[in-house]
Amino acid sequence: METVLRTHKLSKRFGKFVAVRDLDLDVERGEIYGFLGPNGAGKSTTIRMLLDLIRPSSGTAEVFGRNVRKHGTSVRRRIGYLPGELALYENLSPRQLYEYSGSLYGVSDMSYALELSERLKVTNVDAKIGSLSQGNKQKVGIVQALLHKPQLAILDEPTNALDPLVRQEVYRILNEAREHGTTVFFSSHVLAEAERICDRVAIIREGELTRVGTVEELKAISPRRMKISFAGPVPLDELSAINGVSDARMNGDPHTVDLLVRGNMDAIVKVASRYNVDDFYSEDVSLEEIFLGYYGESDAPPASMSNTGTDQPVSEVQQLIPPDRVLEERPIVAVPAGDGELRDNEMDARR
Amino acid sequence: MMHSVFMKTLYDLRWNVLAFCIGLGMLAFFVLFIYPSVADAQEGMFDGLAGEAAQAILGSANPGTPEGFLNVQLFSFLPLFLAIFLIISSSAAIAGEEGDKTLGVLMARPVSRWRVLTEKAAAIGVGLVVITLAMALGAVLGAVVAGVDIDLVKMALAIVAAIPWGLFVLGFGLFCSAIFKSRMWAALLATGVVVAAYMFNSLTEFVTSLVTYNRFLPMYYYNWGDPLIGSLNWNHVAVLSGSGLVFYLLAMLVFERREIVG
Repeated sequence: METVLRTHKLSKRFGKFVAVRDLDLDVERGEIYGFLGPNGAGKSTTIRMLLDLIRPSSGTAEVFGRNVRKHGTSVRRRIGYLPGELALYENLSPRQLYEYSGSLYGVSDMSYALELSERLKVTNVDAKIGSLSQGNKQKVGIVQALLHKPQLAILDEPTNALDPLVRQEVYRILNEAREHGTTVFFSSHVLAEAERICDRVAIIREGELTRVGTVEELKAISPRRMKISFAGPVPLDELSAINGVSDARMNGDPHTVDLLVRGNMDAIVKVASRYNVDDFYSEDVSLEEIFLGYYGESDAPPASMSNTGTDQPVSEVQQLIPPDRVLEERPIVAVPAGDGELRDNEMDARR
Repeated sequence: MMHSVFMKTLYDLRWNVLAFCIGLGMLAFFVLFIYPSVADAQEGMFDGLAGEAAQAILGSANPGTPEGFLNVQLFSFLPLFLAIFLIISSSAAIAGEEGDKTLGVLMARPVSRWRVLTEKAAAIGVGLVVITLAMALGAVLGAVVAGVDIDLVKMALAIVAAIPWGLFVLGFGLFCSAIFKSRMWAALLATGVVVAAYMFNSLTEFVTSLVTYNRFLPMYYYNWGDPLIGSLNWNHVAVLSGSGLVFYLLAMLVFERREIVG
């Protein structure tokens, strides 16, 4: 497979503050690559270095085998970009923006842009962008990033402000783009969408890459959640004693137990089979729970993004990630806080 | 229509340019239009002024002539009027776009920074030329309608001769815009320098001990309507245009090297 995007020990410091440290990424042609982390993790800083908007303190970034610092213009010709903090020319209409954007890529045929607008239900391509809702602006932003059918789409939080139906359409568009050979590199803190469309994901924490793998690989090393309902009393002590069960608890119902389990289920099934079981329920943890496993309580993502469906404390989930069962592990080094110039949301999140 | 950064910048400037064309065109028109009715009063207005003071206000023109009247009523303020347009436009070019957070989207496209700066500078330059032409047209119309006895071609050229001054302000404004990531700070610095230069230049006309410092000010090289009574000082044109070019190149150097946060 051809590597489309590669970084080698890419680092960015703002004064004493380290926004990105020794980042090594390899993104291959035709994959949808999720770059995950909460606000302030260094996602946008990394993306801006890939586009030569900001310059690395050390390390290199190559796109299509060319150094983005030396060959910025020719590299960017093959890239479509949607920024995280989207701001568009509010005095233009979407149609005018498409024409302007397309002209800079040498594209004069607006039919694809208008087709995307229609699919994403941009309300009026002739109204001023300033008069559009935030959701519609985001749709226009997605269209302007894809209208020239880029070979690499770099999308920073692409589904922000979009309703669920439009998100589905965005996923379809990205999948179609991939089928036509476009590589998609997108950052997100909405893990459900990464779980749904990504071939591979990378998790970045405080500027450092902590895990890279396919969604399946990440989930395979992660615990499962189980719920067992008994006709009689729950054999809580027996279940808690089983190797691999890290948390067993009863949530109000005296006949039902919730378990977090890793490894083989055999021992649990054998213990349960000695009792009268009414119901047995097992599910994989979501990517979000895996993600939470890489963050301590203090810097866990906000509650608004937490949709795990479990009442497990973060620390308990974190314990369930076996440190010896990782795919590509890099050491987690404490990043000192400090002064420096950084986008507000990143600074706020770090503080 | 918007097929380049140049065209997009012209589109953004269209209302500003139109407003300045109307405003300054009408100003020039009315200055010439009212001249016949105030000509007699002008004759003795500056009789009591000392030589340097009269020189400062009137330039080298005879105060009782349309040329002298134009110097007082139009050419004295013309550099400031043009500077307002140029500072508004140039501060928006880089710092303004960055403050609006649209610069990052623009620079993520396959355009080099020097090209963006050059096309924006060219568009603002076109705006400058259009405004001075509108002023010249207004002045010519005013003179024709009011029957003012003045060389129309020379008068129009005297107005257009403010363009080198405009190029200096444009270059300096772009330099400020490239340095700062806030439009407000870019505009403040550019305005501060232009106003300070204007005031200091006026001061040196009254305080003879300061005259030697005059040549370090850009205002010294502004022609103050001199082409109306004599000929254009091409050395001054070269100094102003060259300074503008130097600041433009500095702006490019700064812009190429700095990071884009918005």
